[in-house]
Amino acid sequence: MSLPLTHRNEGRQGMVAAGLALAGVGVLTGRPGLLLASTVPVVLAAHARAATFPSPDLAVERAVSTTTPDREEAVEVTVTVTNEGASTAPDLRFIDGVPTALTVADGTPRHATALRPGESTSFSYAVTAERGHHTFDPLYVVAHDTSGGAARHSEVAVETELECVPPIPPAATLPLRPSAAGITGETVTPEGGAGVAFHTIREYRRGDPLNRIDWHRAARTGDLSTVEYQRERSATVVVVLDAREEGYVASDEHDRTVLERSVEAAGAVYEGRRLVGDRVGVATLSPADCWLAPGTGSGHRARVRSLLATHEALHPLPSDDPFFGVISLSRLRRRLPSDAQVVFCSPLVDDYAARTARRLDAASHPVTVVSPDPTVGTTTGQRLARVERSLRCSTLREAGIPVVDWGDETFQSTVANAVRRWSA
Amino acid sequence: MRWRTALGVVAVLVGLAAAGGLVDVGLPALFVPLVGVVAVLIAAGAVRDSLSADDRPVLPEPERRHAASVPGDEFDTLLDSASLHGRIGGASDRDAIRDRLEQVAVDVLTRYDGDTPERARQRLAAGTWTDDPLAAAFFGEGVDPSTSVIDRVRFAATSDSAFRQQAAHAIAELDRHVAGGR
Repeated sequence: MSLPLTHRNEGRQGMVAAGLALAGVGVLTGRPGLLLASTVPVVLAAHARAATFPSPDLAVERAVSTTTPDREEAVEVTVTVTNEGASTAPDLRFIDGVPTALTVADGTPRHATALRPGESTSFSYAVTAERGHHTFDPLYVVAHDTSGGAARHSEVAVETELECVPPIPPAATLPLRPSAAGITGETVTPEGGAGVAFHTIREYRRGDPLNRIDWHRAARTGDLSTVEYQRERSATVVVVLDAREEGYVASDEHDRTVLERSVEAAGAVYEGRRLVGDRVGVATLSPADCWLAPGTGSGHRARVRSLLATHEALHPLPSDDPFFGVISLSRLRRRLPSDAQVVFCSPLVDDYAARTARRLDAASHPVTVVSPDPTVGTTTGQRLARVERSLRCSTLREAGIPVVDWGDETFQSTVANAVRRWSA
Repeated sequence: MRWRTALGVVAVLVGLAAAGGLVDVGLPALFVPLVGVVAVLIAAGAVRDSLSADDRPVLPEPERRHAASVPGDEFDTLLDSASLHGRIGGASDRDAIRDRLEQVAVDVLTRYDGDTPERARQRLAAGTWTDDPLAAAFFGEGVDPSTSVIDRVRFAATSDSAFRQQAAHAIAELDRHVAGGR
């Protein structure tokens, strides 16, 4: 359907039918009264038929109470329409272009009125802000003529944008997998240096920090010696989000999708690993390409925050574009630094997700899966989906890939419980 | 369109002139009922058009929120259509569902009950993997679920079927197995 388009109200066909039927019966039965009565609908139908399509000249402004709302904040949207044409617009109907990912919380984005030349009208409603970058669609206008028989549908574009960037959630201290070099994260290297765990004692050299001098030994022997600790090395971690269509499932069709929980988990894992000094990157498996190379520092943190909130690949609604699993996975593998570990955030509702985790793991990128659970057991099919997801979790665990199964608790306490179980 | 309007205008003008006695239009007496019949026919055509043609433009619905897909809803639809009486292809759909569920059941029994795949298949066929007779009957050939009279009447009268009831029981039983081992 391309706009603007014109449309005649075919509901008037009924009037034509009534008029002609009255006239026909009146003629056949020879009753002048019926024939006379038929003139009323015939005249009305003729009026509608003769109507010309109105083409109002409208100026539209859209104001929002804030362009950078918090999540779930109600944003007041006010639309003002002015008739800038020379003639009266007798019947105008408006439908505002609410961004697809937002819900109308209060009021209605529809309005109907008549406008004399130069006259304005305004209507307002509230939407609930969601994570992401949202662009309003044009205002949809249906203008009818006086008879109501002819209508012109058109759109008036008004650029309005909302950007909701939630803060990075509190850190979840997800431990990493042991790698060939030992335990990563608080990774030890063979060399001594600053750190926590004892490594060796060596002779004092000028410039060694005072707190590393072994004073007991100095008191006993009179010689200064310096304690070396195992030097810690930061690990490289890439958080991969499952943002395919299967990453957008929900427990109920009107609920937020599970991707929101994946994004929250990714943020919490990022924060946790960043605080222990790791270099952390972000990638997605999605129709749109998304990659942020591992890095550190406050600039990188701001980029992660903005990417998790507004990247097109993590839009609150699934994309219609096709997803090519093999290509995406090989592109991801090319980009992953050779020593990178992967934290894979996926609801695990299909086999591709589980297979991806195993492939990355087999390609010497130790994988930890974080899986927000979208399954509910209301219907038979939903119960089956829950069984199949549980099987995927246990298959991964059997293959040595830890899975954090995130149910109703907060993500931070789910991780803490999982860590307690793993170390038990 | 234009010529029809012109024809109408000419007819009305001639009619008015004739009524005013300016011209004399000699028409056969049959013409009057003919006009009546034509009017009734056009009226019937207009009614038919207004009933059939609906070319109204589709208006945007900004209040309608995107409906997310719920894991498992697809299977529910599949099970519903496969369970319908007398549906073409229903039998092969039912076979596909049975195969898929059997694979899941074997996986569940090997993982949570410690069976070998062969042993799991034997237990499924013999119906000894569960106490629920309806769940057992879904995989077991010779297992009689002893359907109650009320159920038999219901299956015959509605689109609900024994297949669907047994599948639901089998899945619920597998879910219980998994929940126990979670």
